[in-house]
Amino acid sequence: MHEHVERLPGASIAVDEALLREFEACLTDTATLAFRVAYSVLRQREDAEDVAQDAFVRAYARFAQLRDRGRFRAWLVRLTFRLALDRQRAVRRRGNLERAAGEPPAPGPSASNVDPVQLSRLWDAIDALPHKLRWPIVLSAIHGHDVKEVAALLGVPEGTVKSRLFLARRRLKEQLR
Amino acid sequence: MTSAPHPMRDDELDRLLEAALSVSPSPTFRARVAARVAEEPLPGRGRNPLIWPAMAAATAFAIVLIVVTGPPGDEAPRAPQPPVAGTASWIVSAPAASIERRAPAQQRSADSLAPRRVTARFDHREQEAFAWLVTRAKAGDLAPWEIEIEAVELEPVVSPLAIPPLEVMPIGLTGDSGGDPQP
Repeated sequence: MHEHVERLPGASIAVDEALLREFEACLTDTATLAFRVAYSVLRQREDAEDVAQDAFVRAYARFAQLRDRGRFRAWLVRLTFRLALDRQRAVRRRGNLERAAGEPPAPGPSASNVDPVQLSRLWDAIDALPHKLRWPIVLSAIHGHDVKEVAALLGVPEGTVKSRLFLARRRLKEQLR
Repeated sequence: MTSAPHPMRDDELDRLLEAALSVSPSPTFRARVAARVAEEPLPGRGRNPLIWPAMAAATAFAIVLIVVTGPPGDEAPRAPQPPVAGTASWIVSAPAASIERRAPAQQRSADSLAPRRVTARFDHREQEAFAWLVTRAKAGDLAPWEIEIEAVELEPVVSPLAIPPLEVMPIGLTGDSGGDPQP
């Protein structure tokens, strides 16, 4: 009995360390995804990193309760979306949105040969989309997710994603012509 | 003459979307997140939502257990008691081995909390027989068929049915009726 009691803390620590290793693997896999999701809302690199970091900390606190690890990506995407929207509302309340809107978004590596004016117009068009059309088009552009992956991330049927992608692309093309 | 603007092609839109969302976090982003996560308490320890109800149930169970069985240190300071008088509930005395002496009710209730001890008394003949059995068993020459059982003369059993019932005869008015003779 005494021997069993002495073994318990060590076993618990071993389980927690395994959990931490598993979470670090998820972090490596989804860090860029979470950042880009936050960036699509905030359009500020520092804010997006802060939001993504908060999302990971919250996800870590509840990671042990997530039984299906395959759903971590969808869980993290929704959590990051929510936190980014909260941050966006807070920024708007503070009246700093003009600062964010006035600065051009930091271009990525493949944006070097794209007209910055076109990029700015694209973001304006994306912001004008309703949420249900915005998230499918953004997620499909991140990491080249296909319809099935976007449906899994959003938790909606694939047919719904297809129709929303069609409508979103049509609106964007109309506004960007 | 001005031509109407043509709608954006699909490949142009895909290229523009990819360029807009190809931004990557800073190289230190993962390290900062990993450091921040490492500062957090370990998940799953102390954050289980069932931990407080489980602790409350365990505490209630312990309280009930103490109330029912008494405090755990209650038996320790009891003074050693004489082997016969102190545990009077199961004293058996020979030769009337079938008679159980019962202690008074108050003493029995006090003894019921004490650990139960059984003390048996034997008369000298039983002690001699027991000593003979132990001696022969230690010597290894004890065979069951060597044990002689003496015939015990038992007192005649008086059964309540053996007592003839009293006959109550009706009192007769005349001598012919079979009753007692009149004086």
